[in-house]
Amino acid sequence: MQPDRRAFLTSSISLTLAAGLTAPALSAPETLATDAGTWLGCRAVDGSFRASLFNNVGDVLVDIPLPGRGHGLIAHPDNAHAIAFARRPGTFALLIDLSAGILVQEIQSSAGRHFYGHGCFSHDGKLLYTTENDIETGEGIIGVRDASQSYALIASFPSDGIGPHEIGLMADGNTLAVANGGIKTMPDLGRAKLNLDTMTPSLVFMNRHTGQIEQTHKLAHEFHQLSIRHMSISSTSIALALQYEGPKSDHMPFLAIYDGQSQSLQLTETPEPLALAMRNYGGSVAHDPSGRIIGVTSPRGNIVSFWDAHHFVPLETHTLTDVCGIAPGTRAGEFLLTGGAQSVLTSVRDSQSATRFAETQWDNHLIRIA
Amino acid sequence: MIWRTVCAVLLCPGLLSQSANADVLKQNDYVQFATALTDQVAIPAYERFAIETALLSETLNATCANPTPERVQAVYARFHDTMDAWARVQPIQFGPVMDAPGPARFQFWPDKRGTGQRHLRTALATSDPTALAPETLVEKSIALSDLQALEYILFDDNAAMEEPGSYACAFARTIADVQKTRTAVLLERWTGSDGFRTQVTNAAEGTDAFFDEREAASAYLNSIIGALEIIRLQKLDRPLGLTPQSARAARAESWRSARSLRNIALNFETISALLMTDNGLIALSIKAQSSEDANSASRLSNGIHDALARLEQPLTELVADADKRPELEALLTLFRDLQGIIQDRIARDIGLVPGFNATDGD
Repeated sequence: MQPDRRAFLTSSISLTLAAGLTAPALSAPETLATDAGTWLGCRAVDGSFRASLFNNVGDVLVDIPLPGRGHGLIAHPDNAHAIAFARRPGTFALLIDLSAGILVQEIQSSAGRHFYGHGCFSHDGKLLYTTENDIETGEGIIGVRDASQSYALIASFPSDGIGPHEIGLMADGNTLAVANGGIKTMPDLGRAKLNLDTMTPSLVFMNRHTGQIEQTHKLAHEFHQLSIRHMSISSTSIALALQYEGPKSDHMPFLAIYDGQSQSLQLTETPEPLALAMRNYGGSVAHDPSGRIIGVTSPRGNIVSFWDAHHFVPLETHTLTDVCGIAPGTRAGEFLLTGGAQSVLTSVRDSQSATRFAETQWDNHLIRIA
Repeated sequence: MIWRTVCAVLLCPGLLSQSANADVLKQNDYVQFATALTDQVAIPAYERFAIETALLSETLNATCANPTPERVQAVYARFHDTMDAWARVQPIQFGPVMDAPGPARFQFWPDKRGTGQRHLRTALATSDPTALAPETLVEKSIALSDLQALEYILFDDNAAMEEPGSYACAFARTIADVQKTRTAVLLERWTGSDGFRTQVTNAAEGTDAFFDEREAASAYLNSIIGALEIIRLQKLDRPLGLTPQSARAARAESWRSARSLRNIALNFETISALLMTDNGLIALSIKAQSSEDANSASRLSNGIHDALARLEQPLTELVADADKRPELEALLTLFRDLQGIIQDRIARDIGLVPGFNATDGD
């Protein structure tokens, strides 16, 4: 339940007291085995929102309060910092020092803009790219922010679509991959979707230096209501999680693949029962550490679907209530999932180790911090 | 420092857990629940909304030509009847009301950035002729054709309606005409052939709107929870502020027409109906053998009803009155407790826990 101001004030006081009583400040514990793995996710804890670094035996190593509900997260290339983004149409992005366990800076979207919940760094960490909405025009924007100037906005590029959501940097270090979800929203109208009849999602490749659009890939018209929202980039392809906005009696793919070799965007062949079980909804997507397996989560179906990342065929499914967060595990074939209060370390076929976090509802996304 | 919250456990595939109580419920129980709420609460509320806007439109059309004091008075009465009807449908937060551009096409509120007022002032100051015909008004910002805009015209300058041939009356009439059409369409989308009613009642077979009957039942459950949250956060907490000095009366819904608390009371009338009606949420909860939670929810509902009945001054006055604020705080607590019981306990009892991520749509 979202807290009202009175409830929030009370919980802030108790948090402050707790922090005062438990000084010194949080730091990474020496007991943490390096091969155990740590992950960063956003969560709601008893009505307040946080970005939390944790391991899968239930240790919360860093816990940063957020001004509102969080969404996507990215690691800085130095692996010592990360950014947690506000859920759309939020306006904050928090830079977190993971070693010291402290908030470094709150980055704000500029006037007339809001964030869409995701971003990525240049490989050298000097520039931050954020997906944004120009509220007045509804035009998708990629904001370019300079780390050396406290992440001031130094350039804005049109995303060549509506509703840019997740963004990633390709291995060449120069090309941004942008998932334009295609859905028009306006903050004044809440989360109402304004253009479902005409939405045209796309995957766009953009030169990160000039903003020039190098390639735009769209789905065939009959699939125009498949919103392209999330991505996981591997050395050979991009896995894209889709969310269908059309009739629920349709059975639609929830995973598309951009194949680097053929430079084409393809929908996966998805068995109807699987599409139904996933509720035509891919909430988040990740590759395992080997890059051979793709996992797509569906909180609506309480299910995760694993795919062969080379042949693009479905392998297995696992169920987990409200599962959405997914990130590589520590070993080949392994993933960490979050859903409800739980994190679950799982491989496609083997047994799973689950951990419950008190008062927690894990949010949409999760990243592994190496 | 480390917070070790729990020990790790080993689980096999197949982690989806449900409360034991929920197993008692059968497919037909969810169907009956969703059908009952549709036929006994939702559709009657939409019918009433369509009727009231039609009457409002008729009254305004008669008034603008010859604005006698009696007719102008009737316009104000019809406005309140329309707002009553809107407040009764407001808690139903799924289905055709969510079609683009969403519920704001009926009421553009909260208007946190002052967009609506800015558009309205411009239109009134320039006597914008395109606001005087439904076909051109609907092409403009929806903040010019909603019930919030109508309230501004009627209540910001009370005298404006009484001048024969006034721009204000013609603008108000056009808004009412647009609302009459929009509410008729809304009703038709529920009750027409293969309309949303059919989508709900046939959900067990899978429809365009629902994968199954549990999803249809969840739509009502999430509406109840969502409506309670909006009452708490937007309608009470925002105007209250933390102190009498930081209270902001103009953040209250419908403050110009002094009906902020009436809106809440009527929202709650619908929420109560969704709970108490035959085969409603309380009945479903009892079927799931969780009478204790059902009784708690009933007690809290009665408490809210009584607390609302005791508040006599307008909300705009109460929020700034240090002596009266505790009553509002107590009301807020009751709403919070009721939402908590439904969201944390009854939802689990009936096997329809609203997913934090599942309802997000992101």
